[in-house]
Amino acid sequence: MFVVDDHQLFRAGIIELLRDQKGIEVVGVASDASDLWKRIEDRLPDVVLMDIDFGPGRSQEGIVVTQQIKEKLGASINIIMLTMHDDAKLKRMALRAGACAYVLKSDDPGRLTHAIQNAADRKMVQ
Amino acid sequence: MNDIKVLVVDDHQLFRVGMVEFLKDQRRIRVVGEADGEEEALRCISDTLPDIVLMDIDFGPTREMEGLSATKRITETYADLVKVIMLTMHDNEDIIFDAIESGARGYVLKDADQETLLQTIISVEQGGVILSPTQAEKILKKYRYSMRSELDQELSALTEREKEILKLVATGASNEEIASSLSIAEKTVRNRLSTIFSKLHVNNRTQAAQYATKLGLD
Repeated sequence: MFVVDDHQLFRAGIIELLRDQKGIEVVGVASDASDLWKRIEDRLPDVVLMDIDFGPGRSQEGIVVTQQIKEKLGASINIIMLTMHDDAKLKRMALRAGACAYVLKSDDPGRLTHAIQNAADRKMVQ
Repeated sequence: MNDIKVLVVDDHQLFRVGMVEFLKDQRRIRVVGEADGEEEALRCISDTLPDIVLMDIDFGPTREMEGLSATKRITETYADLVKVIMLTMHDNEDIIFDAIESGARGYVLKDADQETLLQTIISVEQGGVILSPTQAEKILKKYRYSMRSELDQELSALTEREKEILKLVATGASNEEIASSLSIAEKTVRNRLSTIFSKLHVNNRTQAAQYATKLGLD
């Protein structure tokens, strides 16, 4: 797992939340696109949890990065958007960019772990 | 030393649960509950009486700024018994100002690091008020601006002639000297001065002179 979110306290919470989940290991975190590109190629995660907005003036950057990861690193990395935006248009854009799931920050932890499991299973099928 | 009892209030369940998991592992901190909005937070506080409430501000599109009204109600009901720290993504001086006005004792951004959050919890529990240097600067700027606009408002209530008279009062001129300098009757100066005192809510010429300095008329 690789977690991309501009809020450090959210990242810390998600890592704690996933720590005890069987079969999930967080191999890296990043706060934005440039941080991500410094780290992701060394660690090649199976699944990326990707925020959409990276702060003021950087809205929807997560969707752009999703497309770039798919183009540069190939289809084997599955990306789950993890966002506060309950917005059908953003969801369509994210899925079109290559995300395999769209999870809201207001969803329950079970929904997230289920999405991660599905993404990992997808990888095994590929 | 007793544990610090903490309640986490945020509408994003994944943030809330993650925060609870993170705080549970910290020394001296005991999470006593979590809530997804104002009403649930108030119920939780009444049941568990936490020392600290970590409070989000924005609870989604239909509940914007709910964290501020919740903070106000908590502060009005529990005063210093329950202290509120805003934990938010909003780094805007108006919102920081409103949060402090609502009774928040600390303000932490979600992009802060874990150590900052933990230190803020400990300091606020001990009675401190914690803002980052950048937030303190924003509050001061906003405070100075609001003071200046108040003064500007009072200044605009004075006529040009009243401003001239006030300026001369500030130099220490007597009514007779002011009358002579402006070529008006001394009685007119007295009448005008009484209007100026009333507009500026002052009682005598010394206070009026001090006010003139504040208004930048000296």
